[in-house]
Amino acid sequence: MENERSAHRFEGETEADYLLRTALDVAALTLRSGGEIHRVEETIQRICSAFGAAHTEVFAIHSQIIASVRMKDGAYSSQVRRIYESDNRFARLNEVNRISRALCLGKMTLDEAQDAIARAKGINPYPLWMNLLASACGAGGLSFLFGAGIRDALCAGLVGLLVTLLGCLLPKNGNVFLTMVLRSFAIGVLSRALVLFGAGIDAGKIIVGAIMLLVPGVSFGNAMRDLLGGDTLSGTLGIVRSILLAASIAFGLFVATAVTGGAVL
Amino acid sequence: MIDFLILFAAVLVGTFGFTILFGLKPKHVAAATLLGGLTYAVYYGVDLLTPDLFLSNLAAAFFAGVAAFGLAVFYRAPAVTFSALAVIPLVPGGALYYMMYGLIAGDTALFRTNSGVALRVGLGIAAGIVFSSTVVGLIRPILHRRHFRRESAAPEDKK
Repeated sequence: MENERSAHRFEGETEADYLLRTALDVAALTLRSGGEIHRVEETIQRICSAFGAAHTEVFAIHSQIIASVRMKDGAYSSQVRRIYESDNRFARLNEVNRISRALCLGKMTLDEAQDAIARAKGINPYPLWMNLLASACGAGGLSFLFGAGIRDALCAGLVGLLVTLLGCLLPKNGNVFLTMVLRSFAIGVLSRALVLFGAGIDAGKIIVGAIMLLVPGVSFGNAMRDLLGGDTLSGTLGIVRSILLAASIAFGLFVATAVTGGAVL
Repeated sequence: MIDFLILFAAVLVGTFGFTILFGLKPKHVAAATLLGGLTYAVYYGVDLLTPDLFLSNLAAAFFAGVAAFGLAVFYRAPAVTFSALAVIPLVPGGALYYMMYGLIAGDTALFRTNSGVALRVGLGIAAGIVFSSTVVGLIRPILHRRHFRRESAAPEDKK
């Protein structure tokens, strides 16, 4: 660990504090980018070990990381990091993993890591229009798996594109469950409208294709894996969150059914 | 066969869309998309042999987990960036939705049927990934000894 005072260290912050804060910054960004719980815990432990920690303890769930480190000279630090939102941002996860590896191999200092973390936060490899087209591909392509024909798949793609656009217009820091209700409501109404105007054939198949963009399938699968892998608390919390999100989606579609005056299924 | 090819092409299109939505690095997109298609092919093949949702999803997820580890080693990227995308075509999105819809609409039969499907598929995917982690855990030390001894200091490529 560097002995001279670094540009990123706060006033009164010890070396143990600075080391743990940087390790937590890396770990928190890993969690926010879609990294697994065990990766988050290992990241902190390995970074601290690489910088001379005698003992490190970490506990992480999807919304919080608690860690403590004891250095060989007896210095001690304990910190908590609250995680408010997370998303699948895999290019960023890749970059954070590279930072973590460089720190562990001694190829990067804590200061350099702080700069790299700040840069990694802004990584977004695709512009909005590509995300919109990708939504159309995702919804349209997967709707075939649920029995949609070409017309319904095209409609699912269109609905998926519009709902992703709606998601961009909604406030980023809004309630996630309310956002899901609004987006699934839009899927229900748009799907029904496309069938009414003769573009689509089966509103149910359009809906199921389009909601693949919203369904927390990946987080549900990860939660099940956490549960089977021994991370009981993370797994349980993940499953509860997935079920609540699925319920929000179903509620939005249920309201859409009532508004459009017919079964959207 | 034609049905399978249509579904395979649809899965490739769908998985490609999700690679962009999940912000995957551009140079990983082709491999992740192909892995999604191959994972679905495994699911399809096992489903033909034994039409059991749990087994077919377990086999497909196991394949996805092991193949994702191979890609992770090749690209020096976290394996989850490939495995999470590979299992997208297996995700019981429809069953999860119909399950919750049945619950809210008071349709007990719809809820019961689809909750069973969602649970079996979810458990199958999770078990497949966990089993693949075990296999990867066995071959990882051998690979690291040969090529990646220094890299093992970082938490990379572990499922």
